Amino acid sequence: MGRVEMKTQQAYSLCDAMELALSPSPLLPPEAALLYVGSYFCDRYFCTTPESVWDAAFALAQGFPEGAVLVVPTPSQAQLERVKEVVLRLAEKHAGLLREIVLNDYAMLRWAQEALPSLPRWCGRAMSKDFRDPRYPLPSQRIKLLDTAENSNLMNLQVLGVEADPVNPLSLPQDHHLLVAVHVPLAYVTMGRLCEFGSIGKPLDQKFRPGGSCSRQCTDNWLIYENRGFSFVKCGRAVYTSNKHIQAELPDGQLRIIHSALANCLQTAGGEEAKR
Amino acid sequence: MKLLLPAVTPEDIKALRQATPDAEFYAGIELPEWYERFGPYEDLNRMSAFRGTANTSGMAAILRLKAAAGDAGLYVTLNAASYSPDQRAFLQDVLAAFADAKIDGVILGDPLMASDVRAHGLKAVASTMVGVYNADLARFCQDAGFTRLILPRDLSLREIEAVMNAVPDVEYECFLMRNGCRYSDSNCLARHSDQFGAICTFLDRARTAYGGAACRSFPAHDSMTFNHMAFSRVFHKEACGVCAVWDMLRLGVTAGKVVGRADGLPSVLRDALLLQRNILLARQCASRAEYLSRLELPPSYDSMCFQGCNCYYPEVRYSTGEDF
Repeated sequence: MGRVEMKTQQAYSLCDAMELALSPSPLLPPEAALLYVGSYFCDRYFCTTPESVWDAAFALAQGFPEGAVLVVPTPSQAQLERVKEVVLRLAEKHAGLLREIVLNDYAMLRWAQEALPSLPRWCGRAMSKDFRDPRYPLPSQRIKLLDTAENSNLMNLQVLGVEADPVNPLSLPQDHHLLVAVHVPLAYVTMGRLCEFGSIGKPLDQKFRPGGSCSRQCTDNWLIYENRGFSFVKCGRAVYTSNKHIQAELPDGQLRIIHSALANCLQTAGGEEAKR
Repeated sequence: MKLLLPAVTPEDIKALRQATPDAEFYAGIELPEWYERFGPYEDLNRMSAFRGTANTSGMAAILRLKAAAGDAGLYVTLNAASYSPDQRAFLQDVLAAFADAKIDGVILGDPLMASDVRAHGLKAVASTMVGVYNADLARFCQDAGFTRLILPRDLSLREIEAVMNAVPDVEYECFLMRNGCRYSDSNCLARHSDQFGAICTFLDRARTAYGGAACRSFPAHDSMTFNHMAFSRVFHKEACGVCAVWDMLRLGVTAGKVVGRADGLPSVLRDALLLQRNILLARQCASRAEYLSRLELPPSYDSMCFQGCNCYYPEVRYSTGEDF
Protein backbone atom coordinates (compact mmCIF):
# COMPACT_ATOMS: atom_id res chain seq x y z
CA MET A 1 0.00 0.00 0.00
CA GLY A 2 1.46 3.40 -0.93
CA ARG A 3 1.62 6.51 1.15
CA VAL A 4 -1.67 8.25 1.75
CA GLU A 5 -2.20 11.22 -0.51
CA MET A 6 -5.59 12.67 0.22
CA LYS A 7 -7.26 15.98 0.65
CA THR A 8 -9.06 16.44 3.92
CA GLN A 9 -12.35 14.69 3.40
CA GLN A 10 -15.57 15.55 5.21
CA ALA A 11 -18.14 13.00 6.32
CA TYR A 12 -21.37 13.17 8.27
CA SER A 13 -22.39 10.60 10.87
CA LEU A 14 -25.93 9.71 11.81
CA CYS A 15 -24.64 6.92 14.01
CA ASP A 16 -26.38 6.16 17.31
CA ALA A 17 -28.89 8.91 16.55
CA MET A 18 -30.44 7.97 13.25
CA GLU A 19 -34.04 8.73 14.23
CA LEU A 20 -33.09 11.99 15.91
CA ALA A 21 -31.00 13.07 12.97
CA LEU A 22 -33.48 12.08 10.28
CA SER A 23 -36.48 13.78 11.80
CA PRO A 24 -37.89 16.14 10.74
CA SER A 25 -35.25 16.93 8.13
CA PRO A 26 -31.52 16.61 8.62
CA LEU A 27 -29.15 19.56 8.49
CA LEU A 28 -26.49 18.30 6.13
CA PRO A 29 -23.07 19.87 5.78
CA PRO A 30 -22.86 20.62 2.05
CA GLU A 31 -19.23 19.56 1.73
CA ALA A 32 -19.65 16.05 3.20
CA ALA A 33 -18.69 13.25 0.81
CA LEU A 34 -19.79 10.26 2.87
CA LEU A 35 -22.66 9.40 5.19
CA TYR A 36 -22.00 7.15 8.19
CA VAL A 37 -24.92 5.00 9.36
CA GLY A 38 -25.27 2.43 12.13
CA SER A 39 -23.94 2.45 15.66
CA TYR A 40 -20.56 2.68 17.33
CA PHE A 41 -21.67 1.73 20.80
CA CYS A 42 -24.85 -0.31 20.95
CA ASP A 43 -25.52 -3.71 19.44
CA ARG A 44 -29.13 -3.55 20.58
CA TYR A 45 -29.67 -0.20 18.86
CA PHE A 46 -28.07 -1.66 15.74
CA CYS A 47 -30.20 -4.80 15.74
CA THR A 48 -33.51 -3.14 16.58
CA THR A 49 -33.29 -0.25 14.12
CA PRO A 50 -36.50 -0.44 12.06
CA GLU A 51 -36.09 -1.18 8.39
CA SER A 52 -37.76 2.13 7.57
CA VAL A 53 -34.99 3.98 9.42
CA TRP A 54 -32.24 2.06 7.62
CA ASP A 55 -34.01 2.76 4.32
CA ALA A 56 -34.29 6.46 5.11
CA ALA A 57 -30.62 6.64 6.12
CA PHE A 58 -29.43 4.89 2.96
CA ALA A 59 -31.78 7.00 0.87
CA LEU A 60 -30.13 10.07 2.34
CA ALA A 61 -26.73 8.60 1.47
CA GLN A 62 -27.68 8.73 -2.20
CA GLY A 63 -27.14 12.47 -2.00
CA PHE A 64 -23.54 12.03 -0.84
CA PRO A 65 -20.94 11.81 -3.61
CA GLU A 66 -19.09 8.86 -2.09
CA GLY A 67 -22.11 7.03 -0.65
CA ALA A 68 -22.46 5.33 2.73
CA VAL A 69 -20.26 3.80 5.42
CA LEU A 70 -21.79 1.15 7.68
CA VAL A 71 -20.71 1.30 11.33
CA VAL A 72 -20.97 -1.89 13.38
CA PRO A 73 -20.79 -1.96 17.19
CA THR A 74 -19.15 -4.66 19.31
CA PRO A 75 -21.82 -7.33 19.71
CA SER A 76 -22.73 -8.76 23.07
CA GLN A 77 -22.82 -12.54 23.18
CA ALA A 78 -26.62 -12.38 23.06
CA GLN A 79 -26.66 -10.31 19.85
CA LEU A 80 -23.56 -11.72 18.14
CA GLU A 81 -25.24 -13.67 15.35
CA ARG A 82 -27.97 -11.10 14.92
CA VAL A 83 -25.45 -8.30 14.38
CA LYS A 84 -23.77 -10.37 11.67
CA GLU A 85 -27.12 -11.07 10.01
CA VAL A 86 -27.99 -7.37 9.95
CA VAL A 87 -24.59 -6.48 8.48
CA LEU A 88 -24.90 -9.07 5.73
CA ARG A 89 -28.46 -8.05 4.94
CA LEU A 90 -27.62 -4.34 4.72
CA ALA A 91 -24.46 -5.02 2.73
CA GLU A 92 -26.47 -6.94 0.18
CA LYS A 93 -29.48 -4.63 0.08
CA HIS A 94 -27.43 -1.45 -0.23
CA ALA A 95 -24.44 -2.83 -2.11
CA GLY A 96 -24.56 -0.01 -4.62
CA LEU A 97 -24.24 2.65 -1.96
CA LEU A 98 -22.02 1.03 0.62
CA ARG A 99 -18.37 2.02 0.22
CA GLU A 100 -16.75 1.01 3.50
CA ILE A 101 -17.43 -0.68 6.81
CA VAL A 102 -16.29 0.35 10.29
CA LEU A 103 -15.79 -2.33 12.91
CA ASN A 104 -15.24 -1.64 16.57
CA ASP A 105 -13.46 -4.77 17.78
CA TYR A 106 -10.85 -7.20 16.52
CA ALA A 107 -13.20 -10.16 16.24
CA MET A 108 -15.73 -8.35 14.06
CA LEU A 109 -12.84 -7.01 11.98
CA ARG A 110 -11.68 -10.58 11.44
CA TRP A 111 -15.21 -11.72 10.64
CA ALA A 112 -15.78 -8.88 8.13
CA GLN A 113 -12.47 -9.62 6.45
CA GLU A 114 -13.74 -13.12 5.71
CA ALA A 115 -17.45 -12.42 5.17
CA LEU A 116 -17.19 -9.20 3.17
CA PRO A 117 -13.66 -9.24 1.78
CA SER A 118 -14.26 -6.62 -0.91
CA LEU A 119 -15.58 -3.97 1.49
CA PRO A 120 -12.74 -1.77 2.82
CA ARG A 121 -12.54 -1.94 6.63
CA TRP A 122 -11.79 0.64 9.29
CA CYS A 123 -10.83 0.30 12.95
CA GLY A 124 -13.66 2.24 14.57
CA ARG A 125 -13.41 4.81 17.32
CA ALA A 126 -14.06 2.19 20.02
CA MET A 127 -10.81 0.46 19.04
CA SER A 128 -8.65 3.56 19.55
CA LYS A 129 -8.11 3.47 23.27
CA ASP A 130 -6.01 6.54 23.86
CA PHE A 131 -6.37 8.50 27.06
CA ARG A 132 -8.70 11.45 26.53
CA ASP A 133 -9.99 13.52 29.38
CA PRO A 134 -10.79 17.20 29.01
CA ARG A 135 -10.13 17.68 32.72
CA TYR A 136 -6.44 17.00 32.08
CA PRO A 137 -5.47 18.85 28.88
CA LEU A 138 -2.26 17.72 27.18
CA PRO A 139 -0.11 19.43 24.55
CA SER A 140 -0.80 16.64 22.07
CA GLN A 141 -2.55 13.33 21.59
CA ARG A 142 -1.36 10.36 19.57
CA ILE A 143 -3.34 7.49 18.09
CA LYS A 144 -1.50 4.47 19.44
CA LEU A 145 -3.45 2.04 17.33
CA LEU A 146 -2.38 3.91 14.20
CA ASP A 147 1.24 3.84 15.33
CA THR A 148 0.93 0.10 15.95
CA ALA A 149 -0.90 -0.63 12.71
CA GLU A 150 1.73 1.32 10.76
CA ASN A 151 4.45 -0.86 12.26
CA SER A 152 2.83 -4.29 12.31
CA ASN A 153 0.09 -6.25 10.62
CA LEU A 154 -2.51 -6.13 13.44
CA MET A 155 -2.56 -9.94 13.54
CA ASN A 156 -3.16 -10.21 9.81
CA LEU A 157 -6.11 -7.83 9.84
CA GLN A 158 -5.98 -5.47 6.89
CA VAL A 159 -7.57 -2.08 7.39
CA LEU A 160 -7.94 1.06 5.37
CA GLY A 161 -7.72 3.37 8.34
CA VAL A 162 -8.14 4.13 11.99
CA GLU A 163 -10.63 6.42 13.70
CA ALA A 164 -9.93 8.56 16.74
CA ASP A 165 -11.53 10.95 19.23
CA PRO A 166 -8.88 13.51 20.09
CA VAL A 167 -9.53 16.09 22.79
CA ASN A 168 -6.01 17.50 22.47
CA PRO A 169 -4.12 18.64 19.35
CA LEU A 170 -3.61 15.55 17.22
CA SER A 171 -0.09 14.30 16.65
CA LEU A 172 0.25 12.00 13.63
CA PRO A 173 3.31 10.10 12.46
CA GLN A 174 5.11 11.43 9.39
CA ASP A 175 4.25 9.60 6.18
CA HIS A 176 1.54 7.40 7.62
CA HIS A 177 0.14 4.91 5.14
CA LEU A 178 -3.21 4.29 6.74
CA LEU A 179 -6.06 6.76 6.59
CA VAL A 180 -7.09 8.60 9.73
CA ALA A 181 -10.60 9.74 10.60
CA VAL A 182 -11.39 12.09 13.45
CA HIS A 183 -14.73 12.55 15.15
CA VAL A 184 -15.94 16.12 15.77
CA PRO A 185 -17.36 18.06 17.54
CA LEU A 186 -18.05 15.37 20.14
CA ALA A 187 -15.33 13.01 21.35
CA TYR A 188 -16.40 9.97 23.31
CA VAL A 189 -14.81 9.63 26.72
CA THR A 190 -16.46 6.57 28.22
CA MET A 191 -19.32 4.20 27.51
CA GLY A 192 -21.30 1.59 29.38
CA ARG A 193 -23.22 -1.48 28.34
CA LEU A 194 -25.43 -1.37 31.43
CA CYS A 195 -27.71 1.07 29.69
CA GLU A 196 -29.14 3.97 31.66
CA PHE A 197 -31.67 5.14 29.10
CA GLY A 198 -32.74 1.62 28.19
CA SER A 199 -33.85 1.19 31.80
CA ILE A 200 -36.24 4.14 31.89
CA GLY A 201 -39.64 2.89 32.96
CA LYS A 202 -38.42 -0.47 34.23
CA PRO A 203 -38.86 -1.51 37.86
CA LEU A 204 -35.73 -0.96 39.94
CA ASP A 205 -34.88 -4.66 40.19
CA GLN A 206 -34.84 -4.96 36.39
CA LYS A 207 -32.80 -1.86 35.59
CA PHE A 208 -29.25 -1.69 34.18
CA ARG A 209 -28.95 -5.32 33.14
CA PRO A 210 -26.37 -6.50 30.63
CA GLY A 211 -28.21 -7.25 27.44
CA GLY A 212 -31.49 -6.07 28.89
CA SER A 213 -34.22 -5.39 26.39
CA CYS A 214 -35.20 -1.79 25.70
CA SER A 215 -37.68 0.36 23.84
CA ARG A 216 -34.97 2.44 22.16
CA GLN A 217 -35.49 5.17 24.76
CA CYS A 218 -32.10 6.56 23.66
CA THR A 219 -33.72 7.93 20.54
CA ASP A 220 -35.49 10.57 22.63
CA ASN A 221 -33.52 11.03 25.84
CA TRP A 222 -30.12 12.46 26.69
CA LEU A 223 -28.30 14.01 29.61
CA ILE A 224 -26.05 17.01 29.90
CA TYR A 225 -23.55 17.15 32.77
CA GLU A 226 -21.80 20.24 34.15
CA ASN A 227 -19.22 19.99 36.89
CA ARG A 228 -16.44 22.41 37.83
CA GLY A 229 -16.49 24.06 34.43
CA PHE A 230 -16.44 20.84 32.42
CA SER A 231 -19.35 19.67 30.25
CA PHE A 232 -20.25 16.20 29.07
CA VAL A 233 -23.25 14.79 27.31
CA LYS A 234 -24.57 11.25 27.52
CA CYS A 235 -26.39 9.98 24.45
CA GLY A 236 -27.15 6.32 24.09
CA ARG A 237 -24.50 4.31 25.86
CA ALA A 238 -21.66 6.81 25.45
CA VAL A 239 -20.54 9.94 27.27
CA TYR A 240 -19.05 12.62 25.03
CA THR A 241 -17.20 15.87 25.48
CA SER A 242 -16.76 18.73 23.05
CA ASN A 243 -13.59 18.71 20.97
CA LYS A 244 -14.52 21.69 18.83
CA HIS A 245 -11.37 23.45 19.96
CA ILE A 246 -9.05 20.98 18.23
CA GLN A 247 -10.68 21.32 14.82
CA ALA A 248 -8.71 24.37 13.79
CA GLU A 249 -5.45 22.60 14.64
CA LEU A 250 -6.09 19.38 12.75
CA PRO A 251 -3.32 18.61 10.27
CA ASP A 252 -4.33 19.60 6.77
CA GLY A 253 -4.78 17.14 3.95
CA GLN A 254 -4.32 13.87 5.79
CA LEU A 255 -7.66 13.35 7.43
CA ARG A 256 -11.25 12.40 7.14
CA ILE A 257 -13.30 14.51 9.50
CA ILE A 258 -16.52 12.87 10.66
CA HIS A 259 -19.07 15.44 11.79
CA SER A 260 -21.64 14.20 14.27
CA ALA A 261 -25.32 14.63 13.55
CA LEU A 262 -25.85 14.10 17.24
CA ALA A 263 -24.17 17.41 18.01
CA ASN A 264 -26.52 19.21 15.61
CA CYS A 265 -29.55 17.54 17.16
CA LEU A 266 -28.53 18.48 20.70
CA GLN A 267 -27.77 22.03 19.73
CA THR A 268 -31.19 22.38 18.17
CA ALA A 269 -33.14 20.62 20.89
CA GLY A 270 -31.56 22.10 24.01
CA GLY A 271 -32.38 20.70 27.42
CA GLU A 272 -34.27 21.36 30.56
CA GLU A 273 -32.33 21.72 33.73
CA ALA A 274 -33.11 19.00 36.21
CA LYS A 275 -34.39 20.01 39.59
CA ARG A 276 -31.83 19.01 42.18
CA MET B 1 -12.95 -22.28 41.48
CA LYS B 2 -10.05 -20.45 43.06
CA LEU B 3 -10.18 -16.93 44.39
CA LEU B 4 -7.99 -14.34 42.72
CA LEU B 5 -7.15 -11.72 45.33
CA PRO B 6 -5.52 -8.29 45.07
CA ALA B 7 -2.27 -7.58 46.88
CA VAL B 8 -0.01 -4.58 47.23
CA THR B 9 2.51 -5.80 49.80
CA PRO B 10 4.07 -9.16 50.75
CA GLU B 11 2.25 -8.81 54.08
CA ASP B 12 -1.07 -8.73 52.21
CA ILE B 13 -0.21 -11.98 50.49
CA LYS B 14 0.97 -13.66 53.70
CA ALA B 15 -2.24 -12.76 55.53
CA LEU B 16 -4.50 -13.72 52.63
CA ARG B 17 -2.63 -16.95 51.97
CA GLN B 18 -2.94 -18.01 55.57
CA ALA B 19 -6.70 -17.40 55.47
CA THR B 20 -7.40 -18.74 51.96
CA PRO B 21 -4.74 -21.34 51.06
CA ASP B 22 -6.16 -21.99 47.58
CA ALA B 23 -6.11 -18.38 46.44
CA GLU B 24 -4.08 -16.83 43.65
CA PHE B 25 -2.90 -13.23 43.70
CA TYR B 26 -2.56 -10.27 41.40
CA ALA B 27 -0.71 -7.01 41.80
CA GLY B 28 0.00 -3.82 39.95
CA ILE B 29 3.35 -2.20 39.57
CA GLU B 30 4.50 1.37 39.16
CA LEU B 31 7.83 2.24 37.64
CA PRO B 32 9.11 5.81 38.02
CA GLU B 33 11.09 5.46 34.79
CA TRP B 34 7.83 4.81 32.90
CA TYR B 35 6.38 8.17 33.95
CA GLU B 36 9.67 9.94 33.30
CA ARG B 37 9.61 8.70 29.77
CA PHE B 38 5.92 8.75 28.87
CA GLY B 39 4.40 11.38 31.17
CA PRO B 40 2.06 11.29 34.15
CA TYR B 41 -1.12 10.43 32.26
CA GLU B 42 0.18 7.41 30.38
CA ASP B 43 -1.00 4.52 32.51
CA LEU B 44 1.12 1.43 32.99
CA ASN B 45 -1.98 -0.37 34.25
CA ARG B 46 -5.66 0.33 34.85
CA MET B 47 -5.04 1.42 38.44
CA SER B 48 -1.93 3.52 37.78
CA ALA B 49 -3.73 6.70 38.77
CA PHE B 50 -4.01 5.30 42.30
CA ARG B 51 -0.20 5.13 42.46
CA GLY B 52 1.18 3.53 45.65
CA THR B 53 -2.27 2.89 47.13
CA ALA B 54 -2.94 0.21 44.53
CA ASN B 55 0.51 -0.61 43.19
CA THR B 56 3.76 -1.98 44.40
CA SER B 57 6.78 0.06 43.36
CA GLY B 58 9.74 -1.27 41.40
CA MET B 59 10.86 -4.69 40.23
CA ALA B 60 12.41 -5.59 43.57
CA ALA B 61 8.97 -5.44 45.12
CA ILE B 62 7.68 -7.99 42.61
CA LEU B 63 10.38 -10.39 43.78
CA ARG B 64 9.21 -9.92 47.36
CA LEU B 65 5.59 -10.51 46.35
CA LYS B 66 6.54 -13.69 44.54
CA ALA B 67 8.54 -14.88 47.55
CA ALA B 68 5.46 -14.32 49.71
CA ALA B 69 3.18 -16.06 47.21
CA GLY B 70 5.38 -19.15 47.05
CA ASP B 71 3.66 -21.78 44.95
CA ALA B 72 0.39 -19.79 44.82
CA GLY B 73 -0.09 -18.06 41.50
CA LEU B 74 1.05 -14.44 41.17
CA TYR B 75 -0.13 -12.35 38.25
CA VAL B 76 1.00 -8.81 37.51
CA THR B 77 -1.15 -6.30 35.64
CA LEU B 78 -0.01 -4.46 32.54
CA ASN B 79 -3.56 -3.64 31.63
CA ALA B 80 -3.65 -0.12 30.35
CA ALA B 81 -6.12 0.12 27.50
CA SER B 82 -3.40 0.30 24.85
CA TYR B 83 0.32 0.72 24.39
CA SER B 84 2.20 2.47 21.61
CA PRO B 85 5.09 0.73 19.81
CA ASP B 86 7.68 2.61 21.89
CA GLN B 87 5.84 1.68 25.08
CA ARG B 88 5.76 -1.97 23.98
CA ALA B 89 9.49 -1.80 23.32
CA PHE B 90 10.02 -0.35 26.82
CA LEU B 91 7.98 -3.16 28.32
CA GLN B 92 10.18 -5.91 26.87
CA ASP B 93 12.72 -5.41 29.68
CA VAL B 94 9.88 -5.37 32.21
CA LEU B 95 8.55 -8.66 30.86
CA ALA B 96 12.04 -10.15 30.98
CA ALA B 97 12.29 -9.12 34.63
CA PHE B 98 8.84 -10.66 35.31
CA ALA B 99 10.07 -13.91 33.75
CA ASP B 100 13.22 -13.82 35.90
CA ALA B 101 11.03 -13.28 38.97
CA LYS B 102 9.08 -16.39 37.95
CA ILE B 103 5.69 -14.77 38.26
CA ASP B 104 2.90 -16.86 36.77
CA GLY B 105 1.39 -14.53 34.25
CA VAL B 106 0.69 -11.02 33.06
CA ILE B 107 -2.79 -9.53 32.94
CA LEU B 108 -2.95 -7.53 29.72
CA GLY B 109 -5.26 -4.80 28.49
CA ASP B 110 -3.96 -4.67 24.94
CA PRO B 111 -4.53 -7.93 23.05
CA LEU B 112 -1.68 -7.15 20.68
CA MET B 113 0.76 -7.65 23.57
CA ALA B 114 -0.12 -11.29 24.20
CA SER B 115 2.57 -12.49 21.83
CA ASP B 116 5.19 -10.38 23.67
CA VAL B 117 4.23 -12.00 26.95
CA ARG B 118 4.30 -15.50 25.47
CA ALA B 119 7.72 -14.80 23.99
CA HIS B 120 9.00 -14.34 27.53
CA GLY B 121 7.56 -17.69 28.59
CA LEU B 122 4.80 -16.12 30.65
CA LYS B 123 1.09 -16.86 30.72
CA ALA B 124 -0.98 -14.17 28.99
CA VAL B 125 -4.25 -13.27 30.73
CA ALA B 126 -6.80 -11.04 29.01
CA SER B 127 -7.88 -8.32 31.41
CA THR B 128 -11.40 -7.00 31.58
CA MET B 129 -9.84 -4.08 29.70
CA VAL B 130 -9.74 -6.24 26.57
CA GLY B 131 -13.54 -6.43 26.61
CA VAL B 132 -14.23 -10.09 25.86
CA TYR B 133 -17.94 -9.57 25.27
CA ASN B 134 -18.65 -12.53 23.02
CA ALA B 135 -17.39 -15.90 21.84
CA ASP B 136 -15.74 -14.47 18.72
CA LEU B 137 -13.68 -12.14 20.90
CA ALA B 138 -12.82 -15.06 23.19
CA ARG B 139 -11.65 -17.05 20.16
CA PHE B 140 -9.66 -14.07 18.89
CA CYS B 141 -7.95 -13.80 22.26
CA GLN B 142 -7.21 -17.50 22.31
CA ASP B 143 -5.65 -17.23 18.85
CA ALA B 144 -3.66 -14.20 20.02
CA GLY B 145 -2.05 -16.35 22.72
CA PHE B 146 -4.16 -15.77 25.82
CA THR B 147 -4.77 -18.81 28.00
CA ARG B 148 -6.97 -17.13 30.58
CA LEU B 149 -9.73 -14.63 29.89
CA ILE B 150 -11.17 -12.31 32.50
CA LEU B 151 -14.72 -11.68 31.39
CA PRO B 152 -16.11 -8.16 31.81
CA ARG B 153 -18.30 -7.50 34.81
CA ASP B 154 -21.15 -6.44 32.55
CA LEU B 155 -21.89 -9.91 31.22
CA SER B 156 -24.83 -11.99 32.37
CA LEU B 157 -24.38 -15.56 33.59
CA ARG B 158 -26.16 -16.74 30.48
CA GLU B 159 -23.67 -14.89 28.27
CA ILE B 160 -20.76 -16.22 30.32
CA GLU B 161 -22.04 -19.75 29.84
CA ALA B 162 -22.44 -19.28 26.09
CA VAL B 163 -18.91 -17.87 25.72
CA MET B 164 -17.42 -20.68 27.81
CA ASN B 165 -19.27 -23.34 25.84
CA ALA B 166 -18.22 -21.86 22.51
CA VAL B 167 -14.54 -21.52 23.41
CA PRO B 168 -13.86 -24.19 26.01
CA ASP B 169 -10.08 -24.59 25.90
CA VAL B 170 -9.07 -21.53 27.91
CA GLU B 171 -9.44 -20.62 31.57
CA TYR B 172 -12.13 -18.14 32.55
CA GLU B 173 -12.13 -15.69 35.37
CA CYS B 174 -15.25 -13.80 36.49
CA PHE B 175 -15.89 -10.89 38.78
CA LEU B 176 -17.03 -11.98 42.20
CA MET B 177 -16.65 -9.30 44.83
CA ARG B 178 -16.21 -5.65 45.73
CA ASN B 179 -16.33 -2.79 43.24
CA GLY B 180 -18.91 -2.40 40.53
CA CYS B 181 -18.77 -0.15 37.54
CA ARG B 182 -21.51 1.55 35.62
CA TYR B 183 -19.31 1.94 32.57
CA SER B 184 -17.34 -0.61 30.55
CA ASP B 185 -13.72 -0.88 31.65
CA SER B 186 -12.54 -1.62 28.15
CA ASN B 187 -13.88 1.65 26.76
CA CYS B 188 -13.50 3.99 29.69
CA LEU B 189 -10.73 6.30 28.57
CA ALA B 190 -10.76 9.14 31.06
CA ARG B 191 -8.67 9.42 34.22
CA HIS B 192 -9.53 6.77 36.79
CA SER B 193 -8.61 8.83 39.87
CA ASP B 194 -6.56 11.93 40.67
CA GLN B 195 -7.44 15.59 41.23
CA PHE B 196 -10.98 15.39 39.83
CA GLY B 197 -11.70 11.78 40.75
CA ALA B 198 -12.76 9.00 38.42
CA ILE B 199 -14.95 10.11 35.55
CA CYS B 200 -17.91 8.07 36.86
CA THR B 201 -17.98 9.77 40.25
CA PHE B 202 -17.30 13.13 38.62
CA LEU B 203 -20.41 12.64 36.48
CA ASP B 204 -22.45 11.42 39.45
CA ARG B 205 -21.70 14.69 41.22
CA ALA B 206 -22.39 16.86 38.19
CA ARG B 207 -25.27 19.21 37.67
CA THR B 208 -27.51 17.53 35.11
CA ALA B 209 -29.95 18.75 32.51
CA TYR B 210 -32.27 16.37 30.75
CA GLY B 211 -33.00 16.52 27.05
CA GLY B 212 -35.65 14.96 24.88
CA ALA B 213 -38.82 13.35 26.22
CA ALA B 214 -38.17 14.48 29.80
CA CYS B 215 -38.58 18.10 28.68
CA ARG B 216 -42.03 17.53 27.22
CA SER B 217 -44.12 15.89 29.92
CA PHE B 218 -44.24 15.46 33.68
CA PRO B 219 -44.52 11.64 33.58
CA ALA B 220 -41.53 11.34 31.22
CA HIS B 221 -39.52 13.69 33.43
CA ASP B 222 -40.54 11.73 36.51
CA SER B 223 -39.48 8.45 34.98
CA MET B 224 -36.17 9.85 33.68
CA THR B 225 -35.35 11.45 37.02
CA PHE B 226 -36.03 8.30 39.02
CA ASN B 227 -33.98 6.32 36.55
CA HIS B 228 -31.06 8.74 36.68
CA MET B 229 -31.12 8.90 40.47
CA ALA B 230 -31.05 5.11 40.61
CA PHE B 231 -28.18 4.97 38.12
CA SER B 232 -26.03 7.68 39.65
CA ARG B 233 -26.77 7.39 43.37
CA VAL B 234 -27.77 3.82 44.08
CA PHE B 235 -26.52 1.46 41.41
CA HIS B 236 -23.21 -0.38 41.87
CA LYS B 237 -21.94 1.63 44.77
CA GLU B 238 -20.55 -1.69 45.89
CA ALA B 239 -20.71 -4.97 44.04
CA CYS B 240 -21.05 -8.57 45.01
CA GLY B 241 -21.48 -11.90 43.28
CA VAL B 242 -21.96 -14.14 46.32
CA CYS B 243 -25.35 -15.36 45.14
CA ALA B 244 -23.80 -16.53 41.84
CA VAL B 245 -21.11 -18.76 43.36
CA TRP B 246 -23.11 -21.96 42.82
CA ASP B 247 -23.63 -21.07 39.15
CA MET B 248 -19.96 -20.26 38.67
CA LEU B 249 -18.96 -23.63 40.04
CA ARG B 250 -21.48 -25.29 37.73
CA LEU B 251 -20.06 -23.42 34.74
CA GLY B 252 -16.49 -24.40 35.60
CA VAL B 253 -15.15 -20.89 36.09
CA THR B 254 -11.43 -21.17 36.95
CA ALA B 255 -11.12 -18.12 39.18
CA GLY B 256 -13.42 -15.70 40.95
CA LYS B 257 -11.95 -12.24 40.95
CA VAL B 258 -12.03 -10.05 44.02
CA VAL B 259 -11.21 -6.48 43.03
CA GLY B 260 -10.09 -3.67 45.28
CA ARG B 261 -6.37 -3.15 44.90
CA ALA B 262 -6.79 0.26 46.51
CA ASP B 263 -9.15 -0.88 49.26
CA GLY B 264 -6.73 -2.20 51.87
CA LEU B 265 -6.18 -5.62 53.41
CA PRO B 266 -8.92 -5.79 56.09
CA SER B 267 -11.83 -5.50 53.70
CA VAL B 268 -10.27 -7.81 51.10
CA LEU B 269 -9.51 -10.39 53.78
CA ARG B 270 -13.06 -10.20 55.12
CA ASP B 271 -14.51 -10.76 51.65
CA ALA B 272 -12.04 -13.54 50.80
CA LEU B 273 -13.04 -15.47 53.90
CA LEU B 274 -16.73 -14.98 53.17
CA LEU B 275 -16.29 -16.21 49.61
CA GLN B 276 -14.22 -19.17 50.68
CA ARG B 277 -16.94 -20.29 53.07
CA ASN B 278 -19.57 -19.87 50.37
CA ILE B 279 -17.53 -21.78 47.77
CA LEU B 280 -17.24 -24.70 50.21
CA LEU B 281 -20.96 -24.52 50.86
CA ALA B 282 -21.87 -24.31 47.17
CA ARG B 283 -19.91 -27.51 46.51
CA GLN B 284 -22.25 -29.28 48.91
CA CYS B 285 -25.46 -27.92 47.42
CA ALA B 286 -27.41 -29.84 44.82
CA SER B 287 -29.20 -26.83 43.37
CA ARG B 288 -29.10 -23.07 43.09
CA ALA B 289 -32.18 -22.89 45.31
CA GLU B 290 -30.49 -24.88 48.05
CA TYR B 291 -27.39 -22.71 47.85
CA LEU B 292 -29.44 -19.49 48.00
CA SER B 293 -31.26 -20.76 51.06
CA ARG B 294 -28.05 -21.60 52.91
CA LEU B 295 -25.43 -19.07 51.76
CA GLU B 296 -23.76 -16.59 54.05
CA LEU B 297 -24.62 -13.06 53.00
CA PRO B 298 -22.04 -10.26 53.11
CA PRO B 299 -21.66 -8.23 56.33
CA SER B 300 -22.99 -5.12 54.61
CA TYR B 301 -26.15 -7.02 53.65
CA ASP B 302 -28.43 -4.40 55.22
CA SER B 303 -27.09 -1.58 53.09
CA MET B 304 -26.02 -3.46 50.00
CA CYS B 305 -28.50 -6.22 49.21
CA PHE B 306 -31.62 -4.66 47.75
CA GLN B 307 -33.33 -4.90 44.36
CA GLY B 308 -30.20 -6.24 42.67
CA CYS B 309 -28.61 -2.79 42.67
CA ASN B 310 -25.23 -4.01 43.90
CA CYS B 311 -25.26 -7.42 42.23
CA TYR B 312 -22.79 -8.40 39.56
CA TYR B 313 -25.31 -11.05 38.54
CA PRO B 314 -28.75 -9.75 39.60
CA GLU B 315 -30.52 -12.40 37.55
CA VAL B 316 -29.84 -15.00 40.26
CA ARG B 317 -32.30 -13.32 42.65
CA TYR B 318 -34.23 -11.07 40.30
CA SER B 319 -34.88 -12.97 37.14
CA THR B 320 -36.45 -11.21 34.19
CA GLY B 321 -37.76 -14.56 33.01
CA GLU B 322 -35.22 -14.90 30.21
CA ASP B 323 -32.03 -15.14 32.25
CA PHE B 324 -31.31 -18.85 32.44
